[in-house]
Amino acid sequence: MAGTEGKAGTVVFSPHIHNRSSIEKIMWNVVIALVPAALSAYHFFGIKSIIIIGTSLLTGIVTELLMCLFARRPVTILDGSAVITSLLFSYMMPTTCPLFIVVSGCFFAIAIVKWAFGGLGCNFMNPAIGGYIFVTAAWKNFSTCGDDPLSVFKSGGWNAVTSAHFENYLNLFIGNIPGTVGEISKLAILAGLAYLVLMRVLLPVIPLVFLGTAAVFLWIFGGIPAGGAFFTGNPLFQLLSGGIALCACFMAVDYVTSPLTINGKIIFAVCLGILTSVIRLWSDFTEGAFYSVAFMNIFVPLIDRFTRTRIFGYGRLR
Amino acid sequence: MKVKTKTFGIGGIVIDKWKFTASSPLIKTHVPIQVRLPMCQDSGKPARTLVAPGEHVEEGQIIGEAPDNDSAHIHTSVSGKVISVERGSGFGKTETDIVTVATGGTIKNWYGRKYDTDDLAPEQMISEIRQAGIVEMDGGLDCWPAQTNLSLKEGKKADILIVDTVESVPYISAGHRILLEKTAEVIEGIRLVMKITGAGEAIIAIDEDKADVAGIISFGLIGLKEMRVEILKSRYPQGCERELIYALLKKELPAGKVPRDLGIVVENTATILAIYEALVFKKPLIERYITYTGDKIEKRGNYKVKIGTPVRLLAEEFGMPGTFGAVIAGDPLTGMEITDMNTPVMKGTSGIVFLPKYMNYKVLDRPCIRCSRCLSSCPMRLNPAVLADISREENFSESFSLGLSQCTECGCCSYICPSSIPITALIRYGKKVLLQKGRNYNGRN
Amino acid sequence: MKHFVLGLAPVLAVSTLTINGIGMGLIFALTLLLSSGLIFLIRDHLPEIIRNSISVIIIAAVVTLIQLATVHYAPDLCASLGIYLPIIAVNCYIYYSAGVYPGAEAPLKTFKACLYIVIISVFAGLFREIAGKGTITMMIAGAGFTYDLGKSILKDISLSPAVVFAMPAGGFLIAGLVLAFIQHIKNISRRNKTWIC
Repeated sequence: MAGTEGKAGTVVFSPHIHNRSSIEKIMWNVVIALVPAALSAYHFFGIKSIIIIGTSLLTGIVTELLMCLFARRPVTILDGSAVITSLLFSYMMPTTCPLFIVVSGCFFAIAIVKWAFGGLGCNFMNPAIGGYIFVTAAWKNFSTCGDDPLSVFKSGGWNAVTSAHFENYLNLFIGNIPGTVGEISKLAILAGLAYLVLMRVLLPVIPLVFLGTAAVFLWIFGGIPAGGAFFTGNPLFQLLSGGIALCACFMAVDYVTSPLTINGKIIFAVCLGILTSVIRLWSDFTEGAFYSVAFMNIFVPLIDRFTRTRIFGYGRLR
Repeated sequence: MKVKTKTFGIGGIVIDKWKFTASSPLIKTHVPIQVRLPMCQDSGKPARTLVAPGEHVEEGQIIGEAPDNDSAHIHTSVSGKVISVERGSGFGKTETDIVTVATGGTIKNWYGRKYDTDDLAPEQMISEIRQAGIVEMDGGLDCWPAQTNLSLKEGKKADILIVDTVESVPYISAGHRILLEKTAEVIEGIRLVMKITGAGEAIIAIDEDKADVAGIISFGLIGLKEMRVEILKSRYPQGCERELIYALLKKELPAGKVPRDLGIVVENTATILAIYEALVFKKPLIERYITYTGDKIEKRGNYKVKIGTPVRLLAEEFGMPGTFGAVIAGDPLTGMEITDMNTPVMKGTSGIVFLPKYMNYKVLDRPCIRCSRCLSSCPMRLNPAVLADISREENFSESFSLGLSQCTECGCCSYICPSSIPITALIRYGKKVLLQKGRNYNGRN
Repeated sequence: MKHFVLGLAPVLAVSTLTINGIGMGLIFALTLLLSSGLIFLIRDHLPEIIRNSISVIIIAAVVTLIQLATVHYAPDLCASLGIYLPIIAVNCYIYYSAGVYPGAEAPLKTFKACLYIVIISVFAGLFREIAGKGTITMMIAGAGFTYDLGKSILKDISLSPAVVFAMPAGGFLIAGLVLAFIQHIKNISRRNKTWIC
């Protein structure tokens, strides 16, 4: 019986059937898609990575519980959104990270970036990335790892990469390299993305366009900072190192902070690709993907306003 | 031979059809012991009651006179004595009189004599249709009277008549069976409607689930060059007239216009059958075919019931499940829930559906997670989440550019919303408030 | 509430140390009180046309006086406040235009504004320094103390200070949280007064 009293007045609403989809089903599917990355972290880093992931999860759930009680709303720790934020945040931390940093960052991400702006559905930027930006601004030395392939390439060029034996693309793909907890294994990330596309949680528009644009841009301009010519970049190495794969597949596609229409998503992903490449090539930051997602999230309402669908029957007028 | 199927543009939902009764033949029900007839069964003003308690009425007699040309007359479906004329809530509409007639007396045989229709002018045919009280019979509670749909402006002729047999809603199959078993009558009715509106061609639109009908109709259309059959995919809001016109003719109906402004007349199968019977047998609209269906009903099927039969009597005749979730008049996506089993079958009711308990759907109204599933399933290409938001806050300053009045209330958005937000109900509320306050209302004065 | 946020820019800029925050807040509040008092006294005697200009002159004069006093009594505070000390004039003018000064309720509104300024600056300075550096600095004119939390409380636990709070971004964060807290207290008192849940 589909009836409640309320704003819409009448007791009986149509439609009277529903396709049984719910927020929980979507969110827990995303959590399942994130599990391969955790397994690869355990395989390459051992128990320390699981401690970081566990601390982050615990902090996230406790923070969500506290904020639900504080805001006098129904307790929603079981709907999976706090779990996703805590997992993604912990995937951006290195394994040498002290635990107090993980706790503060996760608390900031959920309490301030998500709840202070209105709760589920109201955050203006991705909460995990908000926590990451806070943590890298506050404790710069502890929360970035200095020996992953991207940092080595940025500081020493391709020679440094070959001398550290990072040029094996298979190692980069499977994850046999130093790095943060979740970003090392591109295989696990791609498996998660394939699962999400299979369960029809999302269309892979944003990951493909983001990575494609970044690849093209890095191929054209990749050699310039080191003094080379155009079209001498190494896009495969650039895409397989750093956090761009994790960011494109799980953080840029977050429902709340990405555009609604497919045209909007394409514009969003192209801007992300260009911005990430610019930050990687010409700034002091090693990894530009997270900052570019945070930046473009702020422009999403503007993108939505300009990519509205043409309404049936309106013709050219708006 | 591969049949090319047409469809409308983006949007729509793919749902299970549960057409349990698709192979049940049309059966006449027994005459009910009483009928209850509300005086307002269409979208116009209520009819004026012409009878008083204690009077004796004959089957087919007008007991409610329409106040103007935008409403339909009400006829009694049985002969007998008027028991009471009481005020009722009108089943979701304004208060109207409800006339209850107890059956007793002669049963009329309407099919004894055929009247000749060749020398009737179109205006005479429209006045006979108006006299018979015919409405668009797939419209639920808010159906138009047939004369508004058929009468065009002075001197104008329609170009094309579209017969809408696409029953893309779940459970309902009465139109399918009408087309299958009464093919000759329907084709004759189409010819009459073409004569009334002056249309040059007719398209019979069928969806691809009804493949058996396409063959029979094509056989019946041999020799009639101006009528043809088109097969459409059976996605959900295909039955809505704007989607039909787009799928068949690739024309978008502009906002604010109705199909007859473009020279297109869209009619429903049941309406065409009623028009045929009104012109050829001079029979008013006192019976209709409905689908009585649901889970665990022994005698579900497509039945010819008298208009005004209370659902309680139908349940006694055909059985009712022991426990059920809800009983719906019409189809589960656009119909109205019946809370009182004395509710009668009205002119626009296309079926009685007993939804099982596991389909119980609770409106949770959780926060919108901007998943944009409603956006990709709206057949009118609106943004239902933002329309629900502005209706909730009653801030209508952007309602024109967002297209609030273009919503056809098909229900696709509420069906797939993961947060169970009652989007269709909120938009309906918003449209009502906007209509009351006038078009320039922006929520601030 | 919104005009209280308008004038907070200099407070957020300098409150990286506790003493800077306290000093800035007290100086700002003192300037506000003095200039508001003077303008309140003479505004009835001025014709309408020149009221604004005279008020600006009064504010500028008061700020100059207080800056000279600070340079004499606490030169290291003046050096760390730098350019933000004269900018207090602009912020006082913002409060004047927002309607805090003119009108019959000027004393009450000004007193509330001063109270908020002092609260926000003290807590902003305190939180930003504890979180951003791990110390509490209360040295003015060479006297006072500097309390190092890292050595005294957390002798063995190794926590590092969160440098973001010493940056402007952290200042805005802390200001936002303190304002939210003040609004929360106002909501509670309003809720208790009017029996609305």
